[in-house]
Amino acid sequence: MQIQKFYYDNKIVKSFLYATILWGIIGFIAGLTIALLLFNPDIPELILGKNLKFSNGILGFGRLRALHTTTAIFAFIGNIIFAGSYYSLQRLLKTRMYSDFLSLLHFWGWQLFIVLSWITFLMGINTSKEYAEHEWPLDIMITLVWLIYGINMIGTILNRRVKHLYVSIWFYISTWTAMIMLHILNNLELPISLTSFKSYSIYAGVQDALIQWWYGHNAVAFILTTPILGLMYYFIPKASGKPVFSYRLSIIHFWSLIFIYIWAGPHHLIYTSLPGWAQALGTVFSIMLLAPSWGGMLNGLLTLRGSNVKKNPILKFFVVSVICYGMATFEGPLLATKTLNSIVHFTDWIVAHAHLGTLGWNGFMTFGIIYWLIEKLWNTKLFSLKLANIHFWMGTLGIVLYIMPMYFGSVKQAEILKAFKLDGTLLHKNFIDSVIALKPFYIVRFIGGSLYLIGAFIMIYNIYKTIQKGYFINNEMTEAPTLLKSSYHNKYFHNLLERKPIQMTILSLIVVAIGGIIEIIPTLVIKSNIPIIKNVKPYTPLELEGRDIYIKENCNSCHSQQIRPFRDEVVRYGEYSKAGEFIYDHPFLWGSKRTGPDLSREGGKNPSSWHYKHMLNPRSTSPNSIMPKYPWLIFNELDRSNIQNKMKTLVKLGVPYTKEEIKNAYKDMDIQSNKIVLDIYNEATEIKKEINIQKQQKGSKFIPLEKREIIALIAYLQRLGKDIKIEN
Amino acid sequence: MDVLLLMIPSSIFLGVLFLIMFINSVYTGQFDDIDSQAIRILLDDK
Ligand code: HEC
Repeated sequence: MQIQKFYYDNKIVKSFLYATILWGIIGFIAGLTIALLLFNPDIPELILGKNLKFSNGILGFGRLRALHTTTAIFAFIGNIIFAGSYYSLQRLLKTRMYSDFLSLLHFWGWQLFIVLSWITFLMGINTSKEYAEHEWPLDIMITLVWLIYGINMIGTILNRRVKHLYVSIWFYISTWTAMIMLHILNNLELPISLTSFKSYSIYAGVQDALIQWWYGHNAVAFILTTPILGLMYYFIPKASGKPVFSYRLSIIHFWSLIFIYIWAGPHHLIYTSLPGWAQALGTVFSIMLLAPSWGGMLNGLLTLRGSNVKKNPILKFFVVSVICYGMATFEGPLLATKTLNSIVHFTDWIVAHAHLGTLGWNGFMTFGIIYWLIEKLWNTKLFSLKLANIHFWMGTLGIVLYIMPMYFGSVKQAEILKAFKLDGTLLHKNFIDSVIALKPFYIVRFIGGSLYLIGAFIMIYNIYKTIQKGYFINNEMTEAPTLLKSSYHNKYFHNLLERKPIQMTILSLIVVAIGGIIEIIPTLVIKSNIPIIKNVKPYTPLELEGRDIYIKENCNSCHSQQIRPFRDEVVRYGEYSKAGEFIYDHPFLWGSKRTGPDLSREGGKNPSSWHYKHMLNPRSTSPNSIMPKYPWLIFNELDRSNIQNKMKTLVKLGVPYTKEEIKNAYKDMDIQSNKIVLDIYNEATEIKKEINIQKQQKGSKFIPLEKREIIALIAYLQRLGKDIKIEN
Repeated sequence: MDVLLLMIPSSIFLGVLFLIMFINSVYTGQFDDIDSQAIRILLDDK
């Protein structure tokens, strides 16, 4: 056996570590901002004043919400996964990362993707699909960077000096494999032209919903769970100095988890228009998930048994993190049962559940790892244990203050919305009653979130001081015996697997698979066998533009478009939703939470002038509303230039627009918008006066009301649910 | 619900992929000496 000298690349770990901290803070602040907007909807106006209407919605709630989730998931958690896996892979495999160049490319590629997400989302360029809001050029970029990560990881594994692949590595590999598949399949979309960021999901309605939540659930599984478990199985033993309680159990945990997780997605769509058997499948697999999850949780906790947790804040972070994992994975299956789901779906309970997982399980694991790595990489001890303890307690209190009010609030909301009077009418006819009742809970949640953020700032100070007294080695020298190939190279297809060509094979396999998928899927999707409802017609050009504004503003982050078959929902909103209603919806817009009321039967409920006033200032029509103001929609001119491209793209996806309709799109839009404006003027003469004043003031710069974005949005809102509405 | 024709096979494909990886790792002796592995990771470095 020959001893070889080589160097660990610590610098790349440092880069990812810094990125984690930076994006973490930005993600927390984005989250706090939207939490604040929920009880102070006029903050954007406070900041921008009269300029709000020129802001193009840069501070819109929907856009910031997408930024918060993208930054927290892909930037904060994403970067710690990379930092932790780059650190542990090298040590577990006794080799340097496969390629320094790929490491760097991976690092900068990922950060660029996050920055571009910020830019595009703030501009309103998004697909509205949760955690997959990135438009198509960014989706391609994510795929490429992810491929780089995979090549670097597999290359490192092939160069290893240790035969055994420690269980963490299995978790990293499964993360990589599952995510690339899910990401590609969920983000198949057709751009309206190669020079435009705008695209339409190739799936429509129910199918889009199903694939989206298959992805959404597994993003939780394979970004927020499996890689974090991989980190847990490495860093908890390292920090506590004790081996995993049961290595055997950890391996069983891994295999059972990854086989079950992928099937649980439909639990996000219980009681929706999804076929019943698919919903049942989701429930069954969700309940089965409890077993491996709790096996893993106990394994983590028992590893820490007997360590001096009291003295070591890093271990404290790990303990709470693993407990939160246990709680969240217990809660998940419960929420997947029809009973609990019927009450709390679309409420803040889901938000609490998500934050138990992210702030608790992911966040605390991340903080623990950051502290531990800082000590290791800078060859020193923490500047202050006391500050780390303060961070720990503030974070813990923050989590409690975050999730508890959300639980109470959600039950309260369900109580209000589901209450009936003895005469069979709704006790609270106006949705706003539930909104007002929730405000105090939103305030406490904000306080909880603030504590969590302050804790993170304390960590940064502590780390800064620690770094100052330590020293950093970019390339850490180490030694390990070479791996004698013959010692394990005699079995089956190993010879074939171990040689370098494997990289090429995998790569080409993926390329082929992508090619195949792109060919096959459209044919599958277009010929949909969803029951056709005769009355359901494609959107008119103006409505289509309105729908795209709805997507751009992410109205679906507060409004659902899916009425479930419950008495209270049917009485409140109207006929429950049918699968056949959504066949032309690219993408689907069912939403996942009702901060505001369901909108699927909005058409004809309120006059167009009401919508105009409501969008200008929701408080003017609905006192105490927390809906944001959208004045820019009222002043902006609608960009009509793409409408024909949009229609042609949708035709390719199976929407039956005729050639005639496409040709007459502009005329059609004029007719429909003129009619809406006429309605508005007839209903509200003050609007007419106001517009006339603008006309005189602006002169040649004046944009007629007919040409503005708001009219398209109203056209869309007035269309919602009209197709199957029974007029009486 | 044609999209299921895509999702179910790709879920199964992923499952089979993991299964092959698993069987392969059993045959190549990944799990022959499990208990020492948990301790080994604590021994390296400083
Ligand atoms: C922060 C969450 C939030 C966002 C974002 C939001 N809304 Fe609302 N919306 C509400 C709330 C709360 C209400 C109920 C109170 C009211 O009528 O204003 C509401 C009510 C409405 C109503 C009246 C429904 C009815 O029948 O009473 C419409 C229409 C509406 N919103 C459309 C939109 C559109 C279009 C967008 C995107 C441009 C949007 N909303 C974005 C929270 C939101």
